[in-house]
Amino acid sequence: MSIIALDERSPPILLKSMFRSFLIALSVFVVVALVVLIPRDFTVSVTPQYWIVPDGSLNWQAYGENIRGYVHSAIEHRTLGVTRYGEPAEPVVWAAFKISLPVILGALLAGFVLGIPKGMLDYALSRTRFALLGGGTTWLMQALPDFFLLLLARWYVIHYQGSHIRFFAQTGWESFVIPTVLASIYPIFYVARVTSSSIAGQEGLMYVKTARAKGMPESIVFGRHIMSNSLARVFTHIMPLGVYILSSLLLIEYLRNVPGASYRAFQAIDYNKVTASGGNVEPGVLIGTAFCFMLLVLVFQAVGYLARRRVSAR
Amino acid sequence: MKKNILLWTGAALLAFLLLAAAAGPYLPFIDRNLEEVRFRMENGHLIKAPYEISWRSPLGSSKFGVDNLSRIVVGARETLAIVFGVSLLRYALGVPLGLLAGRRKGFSHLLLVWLNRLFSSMPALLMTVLLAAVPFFLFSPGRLYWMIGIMALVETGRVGYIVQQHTAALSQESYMEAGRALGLRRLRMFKAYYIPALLPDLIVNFCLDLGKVLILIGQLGVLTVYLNPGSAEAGLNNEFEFVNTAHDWGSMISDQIPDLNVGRFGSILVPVFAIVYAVLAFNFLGEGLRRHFNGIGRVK
Repeated sequence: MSIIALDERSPPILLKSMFRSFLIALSVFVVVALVVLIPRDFTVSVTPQYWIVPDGSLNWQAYGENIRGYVHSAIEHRTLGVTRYGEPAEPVVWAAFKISLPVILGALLAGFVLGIPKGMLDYALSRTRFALLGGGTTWLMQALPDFFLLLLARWYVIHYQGSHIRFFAQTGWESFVIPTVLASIYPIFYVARVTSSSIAGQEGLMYVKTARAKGMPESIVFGRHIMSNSLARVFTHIMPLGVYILSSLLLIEYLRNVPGASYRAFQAIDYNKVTASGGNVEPGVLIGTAFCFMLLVLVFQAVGYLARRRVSAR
Repeated sequence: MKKNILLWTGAALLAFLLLAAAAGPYLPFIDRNLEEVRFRMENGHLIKAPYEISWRSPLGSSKFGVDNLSRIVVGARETLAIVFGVSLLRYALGVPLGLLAGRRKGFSHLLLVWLNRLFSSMPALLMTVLLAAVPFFLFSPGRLYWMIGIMALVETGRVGYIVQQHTAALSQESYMEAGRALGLRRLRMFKAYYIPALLPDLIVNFCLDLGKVLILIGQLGVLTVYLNPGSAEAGLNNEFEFVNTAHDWGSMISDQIPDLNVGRFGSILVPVFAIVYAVLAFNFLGEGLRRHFNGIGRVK
């Protein structure tokens, strides 16, 4: 998970940093392409005792040809490449991305909508003997491995249910609700922790004391003063949260067998422990997916920036 | 008197884990050789593996008849070694990078931003799988070391970022200014001023990161990506299949993944629960240490 701060800057510096951001994005893109284009061929030799010895040492000449061939065909055919089935990569990536996008956005929304009240509850309980129920549960849910919760969910939904929920559904309400619920578990508790700690950070600050000293009712001090400042901090976390959801998507899609953006990219890597030819890697799909993810992260960054300015300007 | 319960719980859980890893394989009920017992006699009946949970196999067995409890205990050492290796390497790279990038400018800052951008457009797990699939790493006899390096690299940016944030905040302190006014060299500033101030946070984050690395190993296990160089076994038509030869918990998950598709969850939950246990131990310890350093849990 990467965390990049959004600092408030004046417009010319902002423009410059946006330009720098673009250059960084471009170079990241080139590196992803270079990694993807590493040739996957290898030689196999058989010893007299019939041991099979694969040799995967890097063939620089083949690598160079791979890159040249890819760039050439990309320019000539104006496409990122073709999939293993011969289709152009862009529609395939877009179709996969369309499956994942509602889940990503839904999980993000659920994270904020449910996480902020949970954080407020955690803070309210932190001084009582129910503190363990508040902050404790938040802490525990954040610590648990995601695949543990996924496997438990899969086991429960398949084996113990009377309501006939279809875990592997690719259409219907389950196709949205199940992955969104699974993807939003971590964000909810992440937001809750950030919310409660930023409320705690406001406690005892001068402006809060002043407001209380002026005799303002506690509801206004909390709602108008503390929460509006805390929310500003919470929303700056939209980008790390979005990046986390993107990376957690792979296991959710993998365990549900749904070819969304992450799982399609995983298939495009063509990691297979049964190695026959190993040549089914789809560079176009991987580069396209990385492009979509990068755009999405930029959107998160912009939203976080705007939200922060809006909330703190009030 | 308020004791730091989290710290003691974490330390106890971790101590048990380390003890199991060190002495466990020599216990009488642990099968150190992990023998595949495909059939065995029970009450005069011939029983085929996988065996149910019983006194002879307290956590059941795999479908090849390997005792699950024995494999968890035998694999603990290897798993912990990988986890510590990855975390140490990650911090050895990330901490200097974060320290150097503390001024938010210059080459190291750019490198840090770049690393974080790279692993947000290609999530860490996907990137690990992508690199793991490259034949150079896949067929290398030192695959385990390459994988440790890859797993360390994919999150170095995050560690560096945290260190950078702390360093930047610290550099505003007045005693740092005093150090600069004395004309201390950068290396001495890092050694005598920054690192002692950063150390508590580093230790806490290191503990939490041990858990994160273990989760990554588990995730790779679920995706059946092996960390170790498996031996290649011939199949039909000149193809060959990688056979796992390691016993770490991640590969134990990946060995059970085919069972998942026929609805058998029993065996896969054993390594998953082992990982959950260790992750909780690391997290308890990290959180307890945080309280200890903040003075919350100290005996008053």
